[in-house]
Amino acid sequence: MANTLLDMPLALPPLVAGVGLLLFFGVSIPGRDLAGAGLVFVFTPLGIVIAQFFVNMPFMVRVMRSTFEEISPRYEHVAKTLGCTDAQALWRVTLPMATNGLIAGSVITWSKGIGEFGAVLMLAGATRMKTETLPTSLFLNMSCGKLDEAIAVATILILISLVSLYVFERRVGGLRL
Amino acid sequence: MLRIENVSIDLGEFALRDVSLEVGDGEYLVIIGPTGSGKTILMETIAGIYSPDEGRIFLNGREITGKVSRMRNVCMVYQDYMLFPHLSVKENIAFGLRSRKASPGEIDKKVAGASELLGISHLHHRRPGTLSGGEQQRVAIARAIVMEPAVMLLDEPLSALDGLTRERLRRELKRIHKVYGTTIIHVTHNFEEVFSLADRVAVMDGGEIVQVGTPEEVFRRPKGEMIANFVGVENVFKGAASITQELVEIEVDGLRIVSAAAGGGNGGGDDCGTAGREVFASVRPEDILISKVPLKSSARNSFHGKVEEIANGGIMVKVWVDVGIPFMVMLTRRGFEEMDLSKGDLVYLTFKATAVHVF
Repeated sequence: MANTLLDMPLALPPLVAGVGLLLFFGVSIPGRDLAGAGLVFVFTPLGIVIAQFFVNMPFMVRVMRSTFEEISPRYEHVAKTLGCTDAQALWRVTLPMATNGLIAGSVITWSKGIGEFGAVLMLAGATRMKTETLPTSLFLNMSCGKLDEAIAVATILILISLVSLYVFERRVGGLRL
Repeated sequence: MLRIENVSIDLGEFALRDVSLEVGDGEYLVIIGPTGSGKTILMETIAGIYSPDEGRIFLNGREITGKVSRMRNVCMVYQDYMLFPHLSVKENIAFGLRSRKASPGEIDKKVAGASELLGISHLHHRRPGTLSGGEQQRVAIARAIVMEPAVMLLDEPLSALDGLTRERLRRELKRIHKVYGTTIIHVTHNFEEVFSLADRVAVMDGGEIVQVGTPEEVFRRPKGEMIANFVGVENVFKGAASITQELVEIEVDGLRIVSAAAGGGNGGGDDCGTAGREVFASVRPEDILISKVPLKSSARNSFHGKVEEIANGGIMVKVWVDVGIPFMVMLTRRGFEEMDLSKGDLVYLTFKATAVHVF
């Protein structure tokens, strides 16, 4: 059950996820309450964060789950026979061994987040200088014919993806997702 | 002193059924059995990784059944070593001592002591991933022995090593046992380790302990087909070795067995062939020729004695002959019938020096 809930955003088209978020934060009761309390997500920079997070979080969870699954529980068993409590075994043995996976997962999820377009567009809008991410900028520039700016942004995005992918492969290349 | 009382545990694929066992202080107990017989589960239960469904475990008078691993003073060495890859060799060995919050001076001293005994002091700054199998195994053992545990559990410690390394490490285990005096429980499926290391041996099958006793008891009088078949070799004798020319003579109970195994039979090259050194000699039952008259051959081993027992197993017939030491000989059914042997007959046993395996 938890698996399905966590994996859902992976199967959902980002655009649809974005509409869902928009409706939730803009129209529904919990959303309205949040807005009343000062947390406005619709058409604000805060919305960018939520949109990027919601769509890409399941991917990070996947990477982390794989990382931990690859670490044999026997390491913790040995640590416990060598005087560790459960918590100490986790802290001194499992987590340091998971570091590579953590870093790699973070980097590639960040990269996907940076490139997120559909969900950000729906929830945060595409207001120049206010809710303008790199992909948004690319879109807006293409729409009004500013080709040079658009290509510049695209190049930056490509570079970010390549570097992130390289870091990911170096650290956890071969990890089964 | 470790006492296991009626312990049962069910983990689906593996289980223990009503296991009871007593291990004395400083004893070296070897547990043998086929895969899936529950050896590793028993060890993990003793170590506190699993809690038994039924039964109790006592260590030096105190009950440890419900206690968590770190409270038990029991250390375990897994078959695949499980060295922490993110720590150096020295940090691995010191790991348990750091958990105990020992002072840096004390840690250094104990780590140095164990490292020297195991010959790994020069590896202190290396990472586990860069070590050979034998080196990793020594580090794993050092990591456990510095804790000076009440019981040290070794899960097939020598199985993943090549022949030469295995023999070396086997001698080191014996040395460690002597120096530290720890109670050791060692799981294996190799009978050579039983004979050279064990004070007693326990045989497990299907989650139960089938037989416990000294190696001689268990192997000479196996309780059941399973043990006998599992070992596949009878006729194991302990004796004093001496080298003459290229042969090794082993004296067992006043009788002389000659082996052609080179240089003491170990192939290890160090410490071999010292006169009077205690070794084990074994001969496969099929390699022994039995006859009613002495055979004229180039075979160097020739004994005579009385037939004690005959077991007709269908295709093969087993004959036990006492020549001063008990031998078990195997014949084909045809061969047996042609010879017309019966209990009490005087027979001659002959076998070649090359048939004698020394370890």
